Amino acid sequence: MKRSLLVAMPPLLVLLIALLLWEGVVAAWKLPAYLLPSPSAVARACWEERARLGAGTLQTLMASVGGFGLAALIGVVAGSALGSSRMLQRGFYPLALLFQMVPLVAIAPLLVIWLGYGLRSTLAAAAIVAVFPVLASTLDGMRGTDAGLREIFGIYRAGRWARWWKLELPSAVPSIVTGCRVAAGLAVIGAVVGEFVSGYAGDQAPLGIVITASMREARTDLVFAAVALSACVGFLLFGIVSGLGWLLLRRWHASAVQEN
Amino acid sequence: MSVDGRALRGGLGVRVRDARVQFQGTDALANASVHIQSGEFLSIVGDSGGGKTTLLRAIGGLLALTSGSIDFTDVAGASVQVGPRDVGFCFQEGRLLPWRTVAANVALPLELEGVGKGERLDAAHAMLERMRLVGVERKMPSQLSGGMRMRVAMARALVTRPRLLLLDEPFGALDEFTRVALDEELLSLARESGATCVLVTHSIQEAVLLADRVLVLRGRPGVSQTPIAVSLPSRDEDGRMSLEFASLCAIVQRELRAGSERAA
Ligand SMILES: Nc1ncnc2c1ncn2[C@@H]1O[C@H](COP(=O)(O)OP(=O)(O)O)[C@@H](O)[C@H]1O
Ligand SMILES: [Mg+2]
Repeated sequence: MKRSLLVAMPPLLVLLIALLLWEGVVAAWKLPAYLLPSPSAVARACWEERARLGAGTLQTLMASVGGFGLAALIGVVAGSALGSSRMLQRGFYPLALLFQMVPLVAIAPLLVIWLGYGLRSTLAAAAIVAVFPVLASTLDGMRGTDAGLREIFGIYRAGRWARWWKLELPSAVPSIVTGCRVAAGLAVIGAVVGEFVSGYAGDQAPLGIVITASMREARTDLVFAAVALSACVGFLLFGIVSGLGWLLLRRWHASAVQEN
Repeated sequence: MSVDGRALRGGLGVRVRDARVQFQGTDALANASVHIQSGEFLSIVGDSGGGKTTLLRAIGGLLALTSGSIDFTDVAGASVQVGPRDVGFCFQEGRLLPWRTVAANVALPLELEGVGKGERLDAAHAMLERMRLVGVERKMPSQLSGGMRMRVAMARALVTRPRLLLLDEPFGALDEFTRVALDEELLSLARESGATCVLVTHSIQEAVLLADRVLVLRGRPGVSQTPIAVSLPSRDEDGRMSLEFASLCAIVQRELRAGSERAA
């Protein structure tokens, strides 16, 4: 408890000082709210528009969590498939690398065509950007399986399935956890960018739509509020994934086990 | 097939004839011939890089010979094929799965063979009991000392009741006290299981203390010499202090040194 406080204190302090400075600068230069709203103005907007922002946050959270979940599933399955077959890996991995370089904003209109406006599209957008790190880390982790342990499985004539489920996948878990943490952050980015293009603009509009709409109305305070909330969604998802990862990795690290 | 019926089958005999192994055209093992008797304990010593590991792996079927042959026989001397349960391996690194408990690690060979959960855990438990490892079954390998990890690795190697136990410098990374304790453990295990044991070690004392015969692989790549028969009044503390022990160590030492002089 004391240690977590020690970790949390410094960045919170820095954040507080930055907000105070920001507040001071806006007041001193009398900056117009459409250019740079003060933190207190943003907080006020948060409160006044809480219904809209709350609904938007929920939509973005669903797209991010759903997209991340889908990406984790597809990434581990596809990564495992590529990891178990040299042929598949040669055929598909370079294409996966290339595919990953296609900018999401360029694909988003296609998602609208195929999936329509709304959660299905934004969830898909989140999944698309998040899948590659999971796939790559799964593949990497599997390939990094200790040769000595592989030999043990060979000695006892383990089948392909047993090799994967009992050796390669567990070996890859630390790497997969790292990949998933990266993917968690990316999923939120993917969701919000997806929403810019394919978000459903109604009373349940997601944060990406709140941002673009507020920008057009020169409600910069709302833009800031929505940005801050999407960052919170990112933190939340990252926190959950890190926590789950810690629970899994506990089995690999003696120190973590002994603390209990 | 039940786990217990295996103890009766007796150790495997191994006939190695003119074994030669090359890696990328260079010899790792030049010429090894030895006839290991059923139930015998054979130690292999030799220069580092002389091909001891290579010979052991070839016997275990982990790599193919470039030329020569390795055959297995039963107690009666009849030729037999070996299955995955017949051979147990013990490596210096232990090679335990870090994400599995001790019990699940020991049960692994049976699990991979499709033995049911209850039966394999019972077998693992019995083996751990025999290795005096009761109480650590639910621990993770990283929570154990080096000596305990090695005992777990030995328990895993023995859980299938192998007829041939291959040990590659199993205690090389341990301190002297732990090593002596494990040597004694290994000796009694080898005797009660009836399995043939082949131990690679860099310690001449260990080789002599445990073995019925010591095989010297001389030079680099190694060439096998005529095995040196070991007869000691006892294998305990007194045995280690005996004149016979000292003179056998000296004989092995001389056999080895002749090799390094030739190489130099
Ligand atoms: N997989 C391998 N590929 C290439 N060379 C190898 C391989 N394994 C062993 N060697 C070489 O074969 C020789 C014998 O190795 P090894 O059997 O490990 O010796 P020892 O166990 O007696 O120290 C060494 O020169 C080693 O470098
Ligand atoms: Mg070696």
